[in-house]
Amino acid sequence: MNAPVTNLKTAAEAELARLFASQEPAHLAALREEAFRRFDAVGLPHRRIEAWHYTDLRAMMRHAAPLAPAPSVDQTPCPWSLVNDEAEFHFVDGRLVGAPPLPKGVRFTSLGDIPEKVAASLNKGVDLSGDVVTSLNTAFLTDALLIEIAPGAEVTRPLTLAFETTGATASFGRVIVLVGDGASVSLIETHRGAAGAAAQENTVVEFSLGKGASVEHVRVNAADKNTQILSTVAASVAERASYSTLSFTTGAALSRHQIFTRVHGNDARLGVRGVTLIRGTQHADTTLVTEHDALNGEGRKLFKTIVDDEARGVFQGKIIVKPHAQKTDGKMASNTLLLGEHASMHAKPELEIFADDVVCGHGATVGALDDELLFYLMSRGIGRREAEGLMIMAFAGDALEHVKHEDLREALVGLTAAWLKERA
Amino acid sequence: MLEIRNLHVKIADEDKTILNDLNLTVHDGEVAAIMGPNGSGKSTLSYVIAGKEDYEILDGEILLDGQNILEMEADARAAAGLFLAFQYPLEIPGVATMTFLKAAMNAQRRTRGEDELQPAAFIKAVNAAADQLAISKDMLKRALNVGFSGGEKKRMEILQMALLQPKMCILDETDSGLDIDALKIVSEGVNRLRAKDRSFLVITHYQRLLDHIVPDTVHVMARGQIVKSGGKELALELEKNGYRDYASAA
Ligand SMILES: Nc1ncnc2c1ncn2[C@@H]1O[C@H](COP(=O)(O)OP(=O)(O)O)[C@@H](O)[C@H]1O
Ligand SMILES: [Mg+2]
Repeated sequence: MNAPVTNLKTAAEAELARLFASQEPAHLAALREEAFRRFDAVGLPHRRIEAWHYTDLRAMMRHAAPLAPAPSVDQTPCPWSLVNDEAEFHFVDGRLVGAPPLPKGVRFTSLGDIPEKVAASLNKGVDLSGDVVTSLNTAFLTDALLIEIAPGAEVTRPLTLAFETTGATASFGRVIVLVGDGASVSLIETHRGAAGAAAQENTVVEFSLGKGASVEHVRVNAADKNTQILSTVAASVAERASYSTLSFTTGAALSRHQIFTRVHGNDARLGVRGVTLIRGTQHADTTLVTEHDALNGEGRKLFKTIVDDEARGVFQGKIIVKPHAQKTDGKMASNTLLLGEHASMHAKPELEIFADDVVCGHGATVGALDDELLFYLMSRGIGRREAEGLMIMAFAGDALEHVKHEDLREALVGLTAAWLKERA
Repeated sequence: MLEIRNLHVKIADEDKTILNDLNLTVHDGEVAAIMGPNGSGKSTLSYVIAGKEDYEILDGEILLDGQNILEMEADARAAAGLFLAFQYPLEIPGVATMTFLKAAMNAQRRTRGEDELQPAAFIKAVNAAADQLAISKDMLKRALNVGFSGGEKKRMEILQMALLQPKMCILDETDSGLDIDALKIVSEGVNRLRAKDRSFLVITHYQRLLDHIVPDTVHVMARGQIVKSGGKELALELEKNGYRDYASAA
């Protein structure tokens, strides 16, 4: 018999329980109840949980911020725009406050409109029930947005999910994107917050791609440096579909970005990439689990992490190839540049391969800027910081160059340049 | 004018002295050649002048137009008019050649208190210099030196020299790896830049280059020292007799 375990709650866990109980009765009470029970059974993950070894959330999340009130319209900041022609959904503190005129082939439904429909599409493509971050998101769901792209629709204007936080409060955003067979769309997701406010954000974006569908997803975390962000992207990918996601991170004191992908149709393509630029005492964790469950899948994963000062980077990447997922071609690389003497990086790439006819590989490098190259640039009169900047930009560029939307790619280069400028 | 006095240099991390009481003066407008066997310290000398950090200066000074440059970082030395054409130019993946050239030209202009170049003027200057060195538009579009042949890299060094218009040019074995056509293109590129206020230090192992870039003075380097100096006839003598006489001179 096991000895009974006295589960002592941390202050944050106790506060989350109190906040959960205090919520107004709302949609989907049963769903939320169940999700909170799942969270409550295990509490905040800590370093003895393998997937959280390098990001001890129990220790790092000292308190739970109060739930964000519904935003008042006159406080609504202008949404942040990275490219010109985008159609922008604007979220303030996790709630949808503005939707754009929609391009042809795009529909949206919000939780308040048809709760059952939105609820039925949650957690569908990839099973997230074991993920504690998603459970918390579901438990505190205030709003959710379902975006549907009609089969065959070629949406040329990017759709943007612009998330803003306004204060030191907790917000929970949820978006489901269903992409019909043969449809294609670019989706930009941005996160920004009020300066100086220790917001806590938890967002989940779930993609489900039909046969032959194509999605380019770019996520930008430019949150205020006091923010804590937990974020999850899930994608289920059908036959011949192509899903690419790139996360670009400069913001937040603590960030954990989780990417769960499942390839369940043959001949699918997956591109999972990231650029993380952190400094000061920032902690940025990128955790990827990608599962190949069909023939002939191609996966490219490339993560570039640039760590200055005493910041800490974490990359965990796991490729799972199921027994019948033959001919899977999967590559994963995590490359890190440590700029600061006290900067650190924990990289843990893993392969779990159960099929015999596959080409999979991974590599992780951690290094400093090459002194020889630096000298070459400086010998032409380029100052040290600028020379370092050229090399850092080139390093990040290896991942950024895969962004197909040209203006968006340029915007990310611009954000990288802005980060570099703050170093100077 | 470049004056090197009493220079003693060792590798920073090792107990290995490479330059050992080296003295050398190159006057304005002068083309000086340094010849010497492999391992005599020629590249080390060029790196120390340009400001590479792997070395420790044990003694001596290097003056550029009377100013001691040993305390200056490499970029400041370049802004002061120094240029090193590398024996082995480095490949810089991800840095476009044009981006690099513009950064270099503008950085030096800023240091000198000049305005940045207008984009049109920049492109015109690059294209003109590239034409003279038979550098194709395609090469200019690629990442710096990435996938360039040995000869292309050397021509790219001369292109940079032509654009930056330095006062003191050091060419470290610019002839190595060049076929005769490339050698002519490179030599003509250098000769075009000869001017009465610009000096050259041409480092080479072979006399061949000096048929094309005719030096005013020739210095023989062995074991980290200048062991003999003379006129251009000294190069011919070395060609005939090899470095045997100098191998144990220092
Ligand atoms: N970074 C280094 N570490 C150790 N030894 C070096 C280093 N650089 C040069 N040397 C040594 O210094 C000597 C001079 O080298 P170098 O300057 O390259 O000569 P050269 O250019 O005349 O052929 C050689 O013995 C070489 O092995
Ligand atoms: Mg050499």
